[in-house]
This record gives sequence, structure tokens and C-alpha cells, in this order.
Amino acid sequence: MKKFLLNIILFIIPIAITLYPFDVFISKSLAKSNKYPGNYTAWNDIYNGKASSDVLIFGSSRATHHIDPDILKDSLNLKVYNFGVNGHGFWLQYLKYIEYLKHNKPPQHIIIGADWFSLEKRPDLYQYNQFLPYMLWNRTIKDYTNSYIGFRYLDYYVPALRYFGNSTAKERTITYAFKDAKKIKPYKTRGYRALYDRKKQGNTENLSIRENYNVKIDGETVDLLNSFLTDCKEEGIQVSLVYTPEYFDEQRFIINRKDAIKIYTDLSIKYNIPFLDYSSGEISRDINYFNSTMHLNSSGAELFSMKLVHDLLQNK
Amino acid sequence: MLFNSLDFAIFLPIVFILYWFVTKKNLKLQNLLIVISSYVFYGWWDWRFLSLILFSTIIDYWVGISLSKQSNEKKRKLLLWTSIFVNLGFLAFFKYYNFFIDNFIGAFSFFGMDVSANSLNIILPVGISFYTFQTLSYTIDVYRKKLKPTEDLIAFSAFVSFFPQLVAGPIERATNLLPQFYKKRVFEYNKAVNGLRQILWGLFKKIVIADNCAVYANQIFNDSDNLSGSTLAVGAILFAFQIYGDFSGYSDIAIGTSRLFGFNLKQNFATPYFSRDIAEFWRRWHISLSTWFRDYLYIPIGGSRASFTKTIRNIFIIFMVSGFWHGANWTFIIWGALNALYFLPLLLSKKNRNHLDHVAKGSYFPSLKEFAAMLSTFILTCFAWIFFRAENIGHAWAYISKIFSMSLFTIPEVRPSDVSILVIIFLIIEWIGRESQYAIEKIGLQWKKPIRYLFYYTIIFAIFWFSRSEQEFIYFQF
Repeated sequence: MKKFLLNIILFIIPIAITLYPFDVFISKSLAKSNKYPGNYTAWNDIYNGKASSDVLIFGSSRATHHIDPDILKDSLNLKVYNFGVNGHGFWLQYLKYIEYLKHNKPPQHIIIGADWFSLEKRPDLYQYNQFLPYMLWNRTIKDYTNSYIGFRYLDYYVPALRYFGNSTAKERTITYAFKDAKKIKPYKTRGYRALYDRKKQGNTENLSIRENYNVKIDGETVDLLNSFLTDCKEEGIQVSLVYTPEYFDEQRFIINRKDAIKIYTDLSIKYNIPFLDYSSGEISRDINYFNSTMHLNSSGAELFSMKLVHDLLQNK
Repeated sequence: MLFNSLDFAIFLPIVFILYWFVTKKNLKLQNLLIVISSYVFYGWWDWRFLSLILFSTIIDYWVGISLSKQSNEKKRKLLLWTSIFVNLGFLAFFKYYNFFIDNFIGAFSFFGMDVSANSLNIILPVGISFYTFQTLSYTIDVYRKKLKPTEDLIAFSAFVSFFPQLVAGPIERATNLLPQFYKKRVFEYNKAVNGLRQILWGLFKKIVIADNCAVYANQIFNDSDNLSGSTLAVGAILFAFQIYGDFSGYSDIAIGTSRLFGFNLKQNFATPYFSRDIAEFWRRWHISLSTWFRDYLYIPIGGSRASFTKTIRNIFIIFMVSGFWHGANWTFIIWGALNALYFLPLLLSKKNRNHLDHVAKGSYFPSLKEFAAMLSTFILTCFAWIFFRAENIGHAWAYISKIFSMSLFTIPEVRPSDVSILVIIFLIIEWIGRESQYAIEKIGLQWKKPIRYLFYYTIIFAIFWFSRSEQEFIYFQF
């Protein structure tokens, strides 16, 4: 038995030694990827300390595709970065913020995409691949992602284990391993990506099959939002809550939409911060500005970004 | 718990350490550990169905003891039928209830009669077909006085629930496995290393071959209406490797794991795709099930020693029942019947035992004749697999019709070059190791340690690199 155990150990040692460099190789290659969902650029900028900006935008995909940082930058004459997280509520948006703070300078102003979607916490770790290159031995990522169905406990600690069974990550490793990162065009520009314009029918096709939906407001997420706003107030960071445009005909399907609006209104009063609601504005009534009922297309996003910057300047 | 899961990778060393270090000195305790581990292993999937295993165990344990005390033949038969009724009853209810109800309704409506009966939403307990057959072998052998019944309930429970082979075989005979629970197990270095090597090869078969073939095979079978005949032919071939890699991979892991605990399970696959005729194929494919049906069904109903018509009937019975064992669908029955049709000419011409030895024994390459024989057997097998994989008879028929169309001579729309390379490498290794219990059993044993280790590291790397998201084993559904 001794010989058996000793040989097992001797056999495993080379594997154990090569696991970490192997992990680094895969992670670094994967992080260069600009294929969909392509969230890596923003994460890379965060961890490399290249994301430092005066204005940060947080929210779901409705922030990613709605607010163009370049338009804000030109008008405000400030550095702007969009940190929208596709498919996730404030819980994971906040993770990006605290990781940002570890490696970058604090912002002056934060724009929060304040919609009903951001108050939910879905059970699955949608687009979990975005965390893969950065999550090994990263306690913060573990703390904010381990409540989702996605990673196993050991995935956070054992090098390369999380890549076992992940064929997408390995295919992308092969594609990007030996490419020059500087020559790879990022999927998003400072976190923003415009959505293409679909035909009018395409924009509303989901309405014919849309069913009523009751927003599952997550108490922990609301608490987190509260403590985030408290921290910002203490540190003198300006916050604006922004309900970005949402096609008006979509809104009738969200049964308790008013409850979400009330939460944001109350927070706005409590912390004395602006709550700009564009869900009943002109853009929200014109389907030509939408890619889908929840997302603006490129022209809608451009128009909205200009309107937003105008209103932000007025609110100053 | 899946063999290819992280859970099992943690579970196995824990049980191994407890087994050889904590409970080593006490055989009863060691057997009890096997029972507990096996119940944890099974309960990981769904603990509710542990009651079925427990009930089956108690009934068959009681039947075994009662049979030994009973000399009245009628009462002995009654006891045997009790065991058969309970075990097959579970199987009939959980696996075949809806099939019978649906066909019953269908048959009546065919004659214009409206019958209403509800099918139930029944979950099929994983591995039920395997462990019921295993316990049945015990009671039948005790009834036939081939085996002394056990009075050791823990040993018997361990035999029924032995976790390496509980959910997908090999279906062990009580005559082989049960006595191993009575004897003190001694750790043997060579046996344990051999076990690890077989586990490694099993994982390779499952993760590298089966799961990668499955991606294309599923894509082709699920979209067969829109693909050309040549693509569908590719799909059938890939499914052949998927099911072989999947099932024989499971068996290898099961046998290898058992070796780590000092047990010997019977070989379940012996490079079946190198068979030169269908009879040889069935001696090499799912051996534990084929021999089970041979000993407990085929021979009792007369086997090949009956009249000409009865022999034909017996052949069809054994193959069709074997097909039906796989699943409650007519596709499996047709698959069985098709294999009977393949087999029958060989039996009737007394050529069914022509190839008892390994192909091209002692040479590197097969002769042209052997190659042609292997290829034609493989094609026949792939053709039968279409029924096995199809959703229903209509799907199988449409699939086959398309293969035999002019589009067979077009370039396939799906060209799995990556998987093809893997399959070719796999076949080469299988060919080299075709005379062993599993392909890499003896490969590299003469090499220097670093080179041998490099060979194993390459396999481990391939397992890592070609792994896809965790896939269940196909035979779990049977």
C-alpha cells in the first residue's frame, strides 16, 4: 500500500506543478477573446488598472447597449466607462464596482441603470465564462458568484479545474493563444456596444407571445443597493439613478413594475440623488429606436445618450 | 453520482482510504462500508429510490434462505416466482407501464374501440434493469442449487448495491461476486495499478470518444429530415462509437474501481467492433447481459437444441427481449429482431462459432478477408444502431430511407474532422490492445517509467482538453 500511495503521489506531482501555469495560459488566452459575449475587455481594463474614469455606468445589458460613453465623454469632458453586465441585476454589477475600486481610482460620478430587472437576482450564473480568467483564488468573485448555480467550490481554488468540460473556453484558447492582444479589436468600446436596427416587426415580435411577469425583487439586492448608496454618499461620489428607455407596450406585461419604480423613488429621496425615468419619455414610445422591446438600437442609444448628458448637466 | 463528475473524484479516494485504512481489519465492517458508500453513491442521484434497492435486497435475501430450507418443489417454485414477480414487477411498473398502456389504447383504437386509461408521470430509477437482473441471478442460482444462499445480510446487500457496477453493470453473477464478499480482501499493488489504468482508459472512452461523437451524432439524428444521406450515414457511424465509448467506458471504470477494492468483475466488452460476424459481435458486446439472457432465458426455453422452428423462435425471443430490456420503445424491439435476423443464418449454417479467437492473433494487421469481414459486420451493426438511437419507428424509417437515396453519394454537410482523428487514434490503440481485457492493459508495461508516465499524462491531457460539459452515461436510462 505504501508503494501504491507513494507512486500515486509521484504521478500526481508533475500534474499538480503544471496545473497553475496551464491555468494561466488558458486564462490569458481566453481573456484576449473578443467573441460574443466578449465581456473580457472591461474586466481586463479593471484588473490592469486601465479603467480609471470619472464617470462609471453600471446596469444590465440595458446599460451596456443604451449609454454610449463617448457621447458622455465629449459633452462632459470627463473619462467615462460603461460597466453594464449582461443579464444580471445589481448584485453582480456591484461585484464589478468593487473589483474596479481595488485597481483603479474612485470615480466622481456613477450612473446606475435603475430598472426593475436590476432588482432581480437570477438563479443561474448567466454568461459565467466572463469570470473564468479572473476567478482563481479571487475571494471577491467567489463571494459574489457562489450563490448562483454555476461554479463548484473547488473551481475557485483548484487551477484549471473550471476549464474541465468547458469546450468553449478551450476552443477560444486555441484561437487567441498566440494572437497579439493589441491587434484584437475589442467586442465593446469602453464597455458599450450598439445594437443593430431591426425592422419594426422584428422589434416587437416578442410582444405577441409575451406573458405577464411578476418581478421577483430580491431583498438582498435592495439592501446591497442601499449600502452602496450610503458608501457613495460618505465618499462624496455623485450617483444618478437612470431608468433607461423601455418600449411602452412592453411595460404593461410587468405586473408589479410600480413596486420597482417606488424602490428607486424612495432611494432617490432617501439619499437625495436624482432619479431620471425615461421609460415614459418620447424615445420609449417610438419603436424605431428599439432593437427589441427592452433594448435600444444604435440610433436610439445615440439619441438617448445625448438626452441623458443634457439632463445630467441640468441636474448638476 | 456520475463517474465523470467531480463528486466521484472526491468520493472515491475517501471510500478507498476508509476501506483500506479504517475498516481493513474487520470484514463485516468493510462490507458495511461498501453498503453505506453504495447507498450514498446511488442516493446522490435520488435517495427516494434507495427503498427499491433495499426492498429488493430483503426479498431476495429472504427468498434465498427460504429456498435452502424448503424441499417441497411446489413451494420452492412459489418462492422463486415471488422473487421474479417482485423484481420484474418493479421493472414492469417503472419502465414499461406507460409503454403497455399506450400500446393497449393504440390497439383498441385501431379496432375502433375507445378506451381511456391514463399514463403516469413515472421517473425511471437509474440502473433498475441492472440490479434487478443481478439479484434475479442470485435467486435463480439458489433455486437451481448452483449456489448456497447467504445468511450474511450485509454481504448480500453489498452484492446487490456494489457501487461500481450498481447503475450500469456489468451485471454480475452471484456465483462470481457474492463469494468475494465472504473473503478477506488483501491489497494487491499490481491489481490496484491495473484498476487505475482501466479507470483511465474508461474515462478516455467516455469523455474523449463518446461525448465528442455525441455532439455530432445528436446534431445529425435531431435534424435528420434536413440532412443528406451521406451525413446520416456519418451520424450512424458516430453513434456507433458514441454508444461503444459510453457504455464500455462505464464498464471499464466500474471494473477498474472494483479492482481498487480488491474485487474482480467480469469483462463486459472485448473490442466488439473488430468482430468478423454478428455472432462474434454478440460474444464481445455487453457480455454480462448476453450471457445472462443465454443462461436464464435462452437455454431454459430450449436454446438451439430444440426443433428447427423452435430454435428460430428462441433466437427471436432472446434478441427481442434483450432489445426490450433496453427500453420501452418499439425501436429497441426492432433493433433486437434485426440482430436476430443477422444471427440466424450463422446459427442455422452452424457458423456461429467460427470466430472464437481474437482477430489476426499474433499479427499486426488483419488479412484482407478479415478486414472485409470486420467492415461488413460493423456496417450491419451501424445499420441496427439507427433503430436503437431513433426516437420512434417512423424516425428510424425516414432516416434509413434517406441513407438509401441518391444523396448518399454527396459530400456530407457535417464533417467532423476533429472527432474522426480522435476515433482513428482510439481504434489504433484498441487494435493494439485487442487481446487484453482493455486496450491499454499491457501497452507500455515494458517501457521505462518516464515514457510510460508520459503516455498516461497524454491520455489525461486528452481527457482534460476534449472534455465537454458533464454528460450522463447512455445506459443510465436502461
